Amino acid sequence: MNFAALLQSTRSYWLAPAMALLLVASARLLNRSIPETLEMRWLDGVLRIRASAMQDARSPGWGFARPLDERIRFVEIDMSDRLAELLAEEGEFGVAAHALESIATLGPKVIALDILYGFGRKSDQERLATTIQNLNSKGTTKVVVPAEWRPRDRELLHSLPSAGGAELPFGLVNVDIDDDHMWRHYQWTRIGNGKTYPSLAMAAFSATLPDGMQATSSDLRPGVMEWKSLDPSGEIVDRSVDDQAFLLNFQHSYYDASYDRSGRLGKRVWNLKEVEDLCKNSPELSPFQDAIVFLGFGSDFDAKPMVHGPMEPGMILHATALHDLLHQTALRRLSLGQDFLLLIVTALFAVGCFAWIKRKLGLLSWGLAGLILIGVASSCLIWFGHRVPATIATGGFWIIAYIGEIARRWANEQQERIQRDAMLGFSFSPDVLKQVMNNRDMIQPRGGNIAILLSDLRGFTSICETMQPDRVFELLNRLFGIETEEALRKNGSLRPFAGDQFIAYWGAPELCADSADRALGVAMEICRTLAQRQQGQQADEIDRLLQIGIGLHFGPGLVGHVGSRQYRDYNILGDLVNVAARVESQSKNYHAPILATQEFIDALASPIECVCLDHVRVSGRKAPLRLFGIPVERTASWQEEVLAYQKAFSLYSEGEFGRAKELFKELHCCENDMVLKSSEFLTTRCEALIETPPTDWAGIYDFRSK
Amino acid sequence: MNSASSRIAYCTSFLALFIVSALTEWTGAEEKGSAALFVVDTSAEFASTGGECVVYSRDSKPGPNRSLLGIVKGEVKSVVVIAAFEAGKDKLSQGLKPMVADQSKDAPALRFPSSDLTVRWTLERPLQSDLFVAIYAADDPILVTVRKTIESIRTGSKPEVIALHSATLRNHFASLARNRTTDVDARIAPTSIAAVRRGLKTLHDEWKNEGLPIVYSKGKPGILVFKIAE
Repeated sequence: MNFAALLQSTRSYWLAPAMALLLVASARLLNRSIPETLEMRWLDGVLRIRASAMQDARSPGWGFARPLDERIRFVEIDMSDRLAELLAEEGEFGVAAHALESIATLGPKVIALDILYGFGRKSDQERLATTIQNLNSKGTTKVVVPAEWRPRDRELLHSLPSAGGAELPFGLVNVDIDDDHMWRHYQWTRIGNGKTYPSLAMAAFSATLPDGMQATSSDLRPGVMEWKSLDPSGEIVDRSVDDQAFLLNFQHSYYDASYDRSGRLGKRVWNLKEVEDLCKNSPELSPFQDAIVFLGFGSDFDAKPMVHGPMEPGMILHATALHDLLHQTALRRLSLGQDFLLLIVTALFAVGCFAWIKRKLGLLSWGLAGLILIGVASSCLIWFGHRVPATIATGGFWIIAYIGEIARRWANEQQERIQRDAMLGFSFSPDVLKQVMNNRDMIQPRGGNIAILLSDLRGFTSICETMQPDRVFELLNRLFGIETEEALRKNGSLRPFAGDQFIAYWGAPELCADSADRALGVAMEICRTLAQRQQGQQADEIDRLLQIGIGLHFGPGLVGHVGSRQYRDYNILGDLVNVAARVESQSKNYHAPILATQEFIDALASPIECVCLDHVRVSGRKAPLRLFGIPVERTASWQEEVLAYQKAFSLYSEGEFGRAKELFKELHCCENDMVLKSSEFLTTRCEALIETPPTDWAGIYDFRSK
Repeated sequence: MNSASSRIAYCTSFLALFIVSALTEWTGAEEKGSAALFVVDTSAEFASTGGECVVYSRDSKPGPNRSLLGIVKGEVKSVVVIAAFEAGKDKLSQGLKPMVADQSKDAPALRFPSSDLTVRWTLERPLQSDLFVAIYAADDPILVTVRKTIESIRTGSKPEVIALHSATLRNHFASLARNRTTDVDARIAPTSIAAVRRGLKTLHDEWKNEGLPIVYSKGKPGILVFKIAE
C-alpha cells in the first residue's frame, strides 16, 4: 500500500499520531535545549497559578500552595541608614558579626549565612570567624557558612579562609542557572575532588538535627548523604539525598506582600534594624524561636530571576530547597522512558478519539478538551505528585496529531470530492470535463442562456405496460446510447436520465456562442440515426419502437450541483426545462420530429428551414409560445406546402376560422408528414372554434392539458 | 425611625448575632489556663513555710539551696503538657521526661517536676533551659500525636529514639511559640510579681496569683516559654 493509499484509508487513525510521535521525538533528539526551556516555562506558569490561588498565607485557601515552612525566616542586610552607620563603625565583616549576634539573641536554631566572605583582611575575617565560633561553641544557635565549589580550579573556596573558616560548618552556594537565565534547579550535594559537599540548604538542615544524628556522607557512595529520621509511625528510618539536580518547588515570591512582609511578629522577612529592635524590646517573644534563619543581602545586592519574580534574593533558592527537603516536595522530572510512555498513552488515546469521533465539530471539541486535560493533569501531577512531565511535548504531540488527523480527513474528503467530480464525466463531454477539471469554479452553480434539447419516447407508458422490463431496459439503453453519443460529440452536457426523458444542454457550464446550432445539429443527427436504424435491414422490434419527439428551447437557466452532502448530482434547473418539456409533449400533435420555440429559432446563428406550426399557451404557463416544426428531410414540395400552411395559419390567427379550415383541408394530401398532420390538427381546431367562437381571440390557442 | 427600618435593624442585629455565635461555635471558643515558674529556696531560714517560693524572672539567680518548680492548670476538658529542653537544643533538660495531664474538675495543678524530683538550680549546677508549657483542648486533634511522642520519649530505651522524639516535641512547641507571638503580654512575667514571696506549703492554694494566662482553644493550643538562664 503506497502512502497516498494509506492516507486515503478511512481507517488510518493511527497515522497522524504516529507521525506526531515521530516529529516530537525527533525534535527532542535534535535540540534538547529549546523543548526543555519550554517545559520549564510551563512549570513556571503552573507554579504561578498555584501561588495566585492562595494570596493570603494565613488562610490556606485551596491548599494548593503551602507557605514556606514556618521555621524558615529571612534576615536581609539591606541598604539603609542603619547599615551605613554600622559599616562605618564596624566594617563589612563587623556588620555580619553584629547581625549574627543579634539574631542569635532571639533563639534560632540555625543561622545560614548566605554571604561568602572569601577574601578580605585577616583581622576582619578573624572578627567574624570568632563570632561564629563563639556561637557554635555555645550550642544554642549553630551558624552555617557558605562555600563555593569552583569546577574550573577544582577547589573549594571557603568563607573566611584566613581565619580558620575551613573548620566552620559550611554548605555550598553553587546554584546552576538554566539556559534561559532563570534559577530553578538545585542540588542537595555536589562532588568535588572525590568528596561530598552539602549545599547550604542541606547544611542548614543537618544542623537542625539532634546532636550526633547530623547527615553524614561517610561510607556512602559519592554524592550521597544520609541521616536518621522518624517515619509517621514513630519508627526510625534512614533518609538520604544525592547529587542529582532537582527542580525547586517555589511556593511563593519572596515579595509576597501578605506572606512575607505583613509587619507582624510572625512575618517572614526581617531587616537588620527590625531584628535589633526586637532584641532590645522583647527577646522572649522571638519569632525566631528554634527557626532556621537565612542571613543574606536583599535584592539590591543579590537579585536573581526566578519563577515568581525577576529580581529575588538568592536566599530564597536555599530556603525553598530546605522547605522541599523538610516536606519532601522537591520536583523531579519524569524520566525519558516515563515521558515516552506518557506520549504512547496519549497517542493511544488520540487513536481512540480519531476512531470514535466522526464529526468535525466533535473532533475539534475533543481536541480542545484533550489539550485542557493534558494541562490539568500535568498541573495536578506537579502540584500533588511533585513530578514534572514533558507537558509541552505531550501537548505539542496532541496538537500535531490533531492537525495531522484533520489534514488527513481533509485530504480524504478532497480525494473523495475528486472521485465524485470524476463522476461528472457521465454528465459532460470529454472536452467539457477537461475544462471542468482544470477549473473547478466552472461547476459552481451558475446561470446563463442555455440551449436545451429534450426528448421523450412516444408511448413509453404503454410500452412499459406491455413489454418485459429487460426489454424496456434494452430499449432505453439503445435510445440513450444514440442520444448520448450525439450530444457528447457536440460537447453537450447531460442531465441525469429520468424514465424515458433525455436532456442535453449547451451554454453551461462552458460558455458557448453557438449553443442553439449545436442543439439543433444533435437533434437532427438523432432523428437521422433513428430513422436509419428503423429502415435498416437488421431493424428489430425494439428499433421500431424508437419513436421520439424532440423539444428545443433557448433561455435563461441555472446549472450546478443539487442535492445533499450524501447524494447530489449536477443538474439543470429553470423555466427552460419546463418549456422544453411542454414543447416536446406537443410535438406528437403536429407529428413534428423536432419542435422548437421562437426563442430557440432566434438564437440560431445559421438560418434554417422551418415552419411556424402554431401559437399556443401551454398548460401552467402564462407566456404564449410560437412552435416551429423543423423537418429532418425536406420533400420536393416542401416550400409550396409551407407557404400554403402559412397562408392558412394567417387566416386562423386573424380569426377567419372558416376560410382557414378550407385552406388547411387542402393540405390534407400533401407529402410532408409534419405539414399534413399539423393541418389536420388545426382543421379540427378550426371546426371547434367555428362551433364555439372565442370572445377574445388574439391568435393564441390555450391548451388545457399538458 | 419608622417601623420598617426598625424591623430591618432588628433583623440585621439578630442575623449578626447569629453569625457571630455560629462562627464562635465553629472556630471554637477561647479558654484560659495559667502557669507559673517559681524559684524555690529551701534554706533553713524558710523551713517553717517549707521553702520560699519566688516567681522566676529575668533577674532571678541560682543559689545554694535553690530549685525550680513549674505549675500549670487548665480548664476542665483540657490537657496540659510540660517539657524542659536544654536551651536551643533538642535534648531534655537534666533528663527530665515531659509530663502530660488531663484536666478535670477536681484534678490538682500539674507540678513540674513531679513531687519526687527537683530541678536543682545552684551555682555549681547552672542551668540554661527552655521550659515549654502548653495547654490543649481535650478534643484537639494534634493531641494524639503529642501524647504519642511523649509516650515514646517516656518509654524509649534507645537514646537515638528519645533524641528524635524529643526533637519532634520541641519543634512542635517552637512552632506553637512562633505562631503565638502576638500574645505578647501574656508571656512576659511582670517584674513586680517577682517581689512576692510565698511558702511552699501553701503554694498549692496561692500560686494562681502569680500565674500567667495561657489562652487556648480547639485547634489553637496555648503555649508559654520560660527561658531559664544561669
